[in-house]
Amino acid sequence: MKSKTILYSLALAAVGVLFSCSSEEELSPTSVIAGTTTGGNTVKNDFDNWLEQNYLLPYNIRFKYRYEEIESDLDFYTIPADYKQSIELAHLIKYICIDSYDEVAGIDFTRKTFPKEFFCIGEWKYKNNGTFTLATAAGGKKILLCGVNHLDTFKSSIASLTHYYFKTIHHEFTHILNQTKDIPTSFKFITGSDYVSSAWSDYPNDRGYLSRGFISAYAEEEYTEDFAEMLALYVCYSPEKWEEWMSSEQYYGYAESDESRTEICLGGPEENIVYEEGGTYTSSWSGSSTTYRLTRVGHTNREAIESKLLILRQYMQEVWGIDIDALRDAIQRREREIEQGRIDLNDLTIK
Amino acid sequence: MKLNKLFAFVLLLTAAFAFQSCLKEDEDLFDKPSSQRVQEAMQKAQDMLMFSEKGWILELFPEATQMYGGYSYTVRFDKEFVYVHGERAKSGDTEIKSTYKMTNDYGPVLSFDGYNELIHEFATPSQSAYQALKGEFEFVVMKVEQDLITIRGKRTGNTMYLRRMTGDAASYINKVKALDDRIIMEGAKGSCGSATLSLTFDLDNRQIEWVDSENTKQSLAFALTDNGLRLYAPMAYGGKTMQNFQIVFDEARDVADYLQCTDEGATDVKLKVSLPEGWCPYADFLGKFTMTVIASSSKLDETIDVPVTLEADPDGSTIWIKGIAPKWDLKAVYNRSKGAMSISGQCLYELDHKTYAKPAISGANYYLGLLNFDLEKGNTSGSISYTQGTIGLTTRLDESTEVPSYKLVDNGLWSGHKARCFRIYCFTSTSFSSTTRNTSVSVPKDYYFTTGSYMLYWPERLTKVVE
Repeated sequence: MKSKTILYSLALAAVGVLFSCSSEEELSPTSVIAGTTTGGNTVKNDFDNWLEQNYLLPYNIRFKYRYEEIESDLDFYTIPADYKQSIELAHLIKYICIDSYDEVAGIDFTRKTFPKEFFCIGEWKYKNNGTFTLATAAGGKKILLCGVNHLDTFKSSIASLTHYYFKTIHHEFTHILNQTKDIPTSFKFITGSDYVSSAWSDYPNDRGYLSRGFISAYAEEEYTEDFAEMLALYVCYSPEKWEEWMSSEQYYGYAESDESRTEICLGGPEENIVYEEGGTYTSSWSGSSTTYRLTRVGHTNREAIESKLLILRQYMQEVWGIDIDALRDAIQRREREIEQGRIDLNDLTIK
Repeated sequence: MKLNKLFAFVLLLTAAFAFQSCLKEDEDLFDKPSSQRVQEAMQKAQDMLMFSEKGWILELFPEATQMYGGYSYTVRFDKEFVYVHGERAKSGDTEIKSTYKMTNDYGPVLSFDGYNELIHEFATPSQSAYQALKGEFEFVVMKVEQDLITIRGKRTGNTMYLRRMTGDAASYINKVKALDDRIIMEGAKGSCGSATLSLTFDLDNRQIEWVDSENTKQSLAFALTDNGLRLYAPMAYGGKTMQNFQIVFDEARDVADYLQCTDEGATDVKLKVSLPEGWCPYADFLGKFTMTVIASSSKLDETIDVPVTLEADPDGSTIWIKGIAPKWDLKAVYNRSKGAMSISGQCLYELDHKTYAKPAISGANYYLGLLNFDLEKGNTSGSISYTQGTIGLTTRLDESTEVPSYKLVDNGLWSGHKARCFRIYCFTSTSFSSTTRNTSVSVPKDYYFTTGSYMLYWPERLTKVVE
């Protein structure tokens, strides 16, 4: 009796298990992915076709010019990029950045390392302290390009285009290279104690940076920015310009209103300082002005910058196979061509 | 044996549990997967947007508390682009085209994803305004009806509407702009249902304010339509619910007369508009007046009443004071937002108001200029200013007199001084300065004021002549 009960119960259980969980729903045949591009239903236009031929197919880079909230930076108030200026920017990046690397390092390098996505937004990313960001790079994969709607106002000046856009892209690309292969440790120690993090834009760090061994004020933030600024500024400007920075005079003085008479470096000739020992210099910013009494003349801390440059040069050559002088030549040549109007930035014909 | 039964029970229970999983069937609430439903909602919204030949009227309210009020746009959609007109442009005729798309990040979303100078204005940040005016350009489509699409701002959460347009977009926007220029209102009051409603306006921020039945201050933002205003949301007062008002004008005086509610059930609500204190329309400054001035610097207690006629200039803001001088008219300028008229330093014209007065004096021709002279009563000298057109005297309505009269007071723009008198000088150019002034020649007597002097001493008042 015992075993029969058990047997019957087991049989019952078995039957039960066999019949359970047999409700299967069929998968819906309708695709949930709609539209021709990610981010909504849009119609493919001439610009999209040009991008496909010049960015997507050769490099697998997606150049996004239509606003997508998820791609923008939600910490800031951002707006879409203007259509026409997006086209111009796409041409500029291809010609000045991508093609330069192709020329110097080969198309395979660019295919492997260049960020896979560009996203354009119309305005700069304004912070609440008056500074604004020109572009950001994220995780080695994406560059967020800001201020696209200002491109036309800068188009006539290659110096402005370089400052606001090209230098920025090379700067961000350097971050991407660094995010893949680290900056050599020795780099951080050359001017290690002089990095000032977010105070780089505050007085007195915003001036006289060359005398402290930094190529720009932003380079003082931390060693990663220093590295990126150095490479970007080295390749985006001419050898003559670089030499000018390296051999620049730097003027020292103290603010007349400063009782402690702390001597700071005020900058070089580009600040319009006319040096006379004991003379004065007045600088104005945002409606207020400060007068300084000049004390002495110094120079760019060439040694520090050149030591850092050497590490940077070796890194680029050994890790990535890039001769930064050759890169500089290629970029300079291409910038000249843009300046001479030899490239049609609005041309969407497929070649 | 008990144990046996126990086992049996346990096993039967297990079987029962096994069956349970079959009994609970997952029932779908909808007949289609959610992604498909969102796609259909997006398509339905886009079809409706494109299915309006003339487009839609969109009233945008930036910022989560609508603190800037609402602004009007017209939007017309085709498959790829949106064509926008907006009251913030210089003219309603301006059409700006940009891309848009339907996307599905918060549900069906209408995204103006290409930069458009009009639509993105309130969302564009700058160095001084890093959060812009807290505007936005992506909207969740909440409801799609034949003539009305309800949307909600992704950033602000504000509920806004797209209303089907039946007329021409440019003329609609031009009418909105014209209304914006025309309206001067401080408040509006009238009976509303069971109570009296008293509203005040903040026209710069497009807000109305009132006190509700519980004595709490309330406010609501509004946008302008082609003939009135529309509140951000309906307001309830005295048992009536109101959102749309027509602004009816007193055409003769060109001022807003009353607000007429056009909502069903509240069409009997008529609110009389009150103008800012002392505000007078252009028309009030036209006609016959007497200008009261002091007789001279030696007769400070005596006044002269100069009969003058104030005449409108075709430009709609200049007023010519005729009769102040036999050979020329004094130019005054009406300011609509202040509702006052002012007289400033100026170059004198012949009576045709077009040719400069340029009499021949001692063999050469000189321009004549009227300058502001800060001469205090009792003094023999004072400062003059060469500025034309800004500093000077302005009218201030004197509420105490029965007959309309205006005091003439300094307009406060001459820093460190007060405009008190006027004096005519000779100049070698229409640009006045100490170098172009010639003090060695005298102003010809026929160009003097009718008072018989080249000075207009302390003009005090303009009084309307009532016939």
